[in-house]
Amino acid sequence: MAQNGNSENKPRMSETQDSVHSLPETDEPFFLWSNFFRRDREKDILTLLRGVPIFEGLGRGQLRAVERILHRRKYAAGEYIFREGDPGLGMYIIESGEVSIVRESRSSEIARLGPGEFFGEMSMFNERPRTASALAYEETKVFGFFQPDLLSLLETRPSIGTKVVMMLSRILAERLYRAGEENARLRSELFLKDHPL
Amino acid sequence: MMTNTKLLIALFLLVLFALAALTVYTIGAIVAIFLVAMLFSFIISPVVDWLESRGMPRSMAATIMMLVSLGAFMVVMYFLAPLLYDQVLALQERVSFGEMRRSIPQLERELVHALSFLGVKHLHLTTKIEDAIGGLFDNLLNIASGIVGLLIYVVMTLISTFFLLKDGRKLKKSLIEIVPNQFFEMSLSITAKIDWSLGAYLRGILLDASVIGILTTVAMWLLDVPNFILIGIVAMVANLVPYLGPPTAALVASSISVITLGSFTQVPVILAMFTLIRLLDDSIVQPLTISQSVKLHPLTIIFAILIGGQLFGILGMLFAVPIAGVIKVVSSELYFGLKRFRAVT
Repeated sequence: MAQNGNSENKPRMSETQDSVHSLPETDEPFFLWSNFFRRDREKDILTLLRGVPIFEGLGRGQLRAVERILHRRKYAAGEYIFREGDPGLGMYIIESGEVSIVRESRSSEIARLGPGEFFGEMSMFNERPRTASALAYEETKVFGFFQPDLLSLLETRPSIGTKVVMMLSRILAERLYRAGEENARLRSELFLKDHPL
Repeated sequence: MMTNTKLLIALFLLVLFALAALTVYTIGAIVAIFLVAMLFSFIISPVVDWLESRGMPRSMAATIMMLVSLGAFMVVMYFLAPLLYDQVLALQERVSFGEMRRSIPQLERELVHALSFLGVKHLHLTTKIEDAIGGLFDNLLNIASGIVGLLIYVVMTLISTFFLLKDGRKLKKSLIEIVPNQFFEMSLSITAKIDWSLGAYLRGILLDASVIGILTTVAMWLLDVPNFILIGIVAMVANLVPYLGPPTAALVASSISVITLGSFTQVPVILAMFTLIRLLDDSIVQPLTISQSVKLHPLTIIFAILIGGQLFGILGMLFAVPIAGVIKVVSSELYFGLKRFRAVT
């Protein structure tokens, strides 16, 4: 909000993201104004969720039902979202900010993800330990979507739950296919190295 | 880092436990309302979930289920209460004036004759039984007069159950929201597992008790034992107390039969029937309804019953084992959750 003097001191990047993805956090005295912003924020969240592949094909009402079960969390720069080796419970969708995916055992960054991108989806189906750590590169807001939420969605709104499971399976199958291709390519490279023509 | 986390968790659990103890100590009745409402919502929620899955809004599903439960309770009471009332009155009559006065002296003569080698001459059975059962009826009357006072608690419990059914998930989500980031996934995992195990356990013991109650009622009716509904209800409630409950119910049934018939002729059949029901319960009903992981050690059961009895009397004894089961479910899920997340080693 204009009257919030603090916003002038914020870095430019955060300012832009706040205006796009979240409600300005002020003590708004007018009910109508807060209502207006809530609706605005809800619209932003729905737009964000619509862009996430696992929620593809969901209608507005269905997306709203999904939004109701998501967990909104805020992380400070450098704070861990989860650590390598922790049991995985579900996935995160980035609302604003940046998340660094790091393999601690090799001290290397695998990926840097931004708004609309997601990570940790492998844990939606089992509680195997996380294969990498995720930490907020800057102040980051994420939506957490976890196994119990998916199960509850399947129980109470099976039409939505099935669509989400189908999309998740498609993403994982695609990833498995690509990993298989990569594996085959590497094997043939290795074979050619050992048995030159 | 790990030590700090452990210390934080230990402190958090300690504060939580102290707060829970203080709350129970100061506002026990209100806590009881909330706990009973939670119990009901655990039992009813699968049906509400099912109705929601058929496209019904959750608030409407919760309202319908509350009305259906209330209606079913009132219908059962409408048909059962007069029957039960008649049976209690008939039993009281038998004890006070009729059959017992005729049958007990005869029974006493038989017993004195059988025990003559011990030098027993008088047992004063009539006076002793009248005193014991008279006290029991006094207690029943006291409970009946307290029912009016309980009405407000019932209404409060119903309202709480409705809101827990309707907004339980939102409430859980709001509670999880206040957990620090460091413990967020761990808390979510533990609460989800506790939720699942506790729901299954509570529904299991209720289903088991109901099956036992129905089986006993039918068996006693087939054997032509009077007060069969009363015995069924006693068996259902007593089933909450392992080891002690079923023999108590068998003893009640045998006593009623002895008082009515004035002989022990029906007792062996009643005991055989209770043994059969027990076997059915142990081999078929319990494995299907209650998870084996919640089985309590006999020593735990004995101590739970003793502590329950010491703190809250007969009601405490009745609910001691289910409460011990709940504590076991919560603590084991908490422990395994903390272990999985390497918060404890």
